[in-house]
Amino acid sequence: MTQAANALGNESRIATIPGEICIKETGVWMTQVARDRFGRVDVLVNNAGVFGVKPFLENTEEDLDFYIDSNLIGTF
Amino acid sequence: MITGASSGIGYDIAKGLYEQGANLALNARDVER
Repeated sequence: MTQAANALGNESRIATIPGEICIKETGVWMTQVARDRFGRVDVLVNNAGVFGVKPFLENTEEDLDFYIDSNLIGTF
Repeated sequence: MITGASSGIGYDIAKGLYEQGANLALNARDVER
């Protein structure tokens, strides 16, 4: 997060909100920060997602929960 | 607001919007990256 923001440049135009997007509070916090810093929200790029780079049979139940939480729950 | 903004498509969208003058709120799981 920090590295990505630094690579872009001018801090005054960039707010960083680290956190799991499947946790409701992360989204609420991000929206609050955006509105406090910049006044309004014009666009949401609902991009975050995860993918397990390993053979199908090696996925654990914890992995599956993580995929569902991030890719399904996280987008809402 | 861009989720998953530390790499890949998310990062490139952030870069593109930044270059066009947008204010950005970026989210990612990893604090450092």
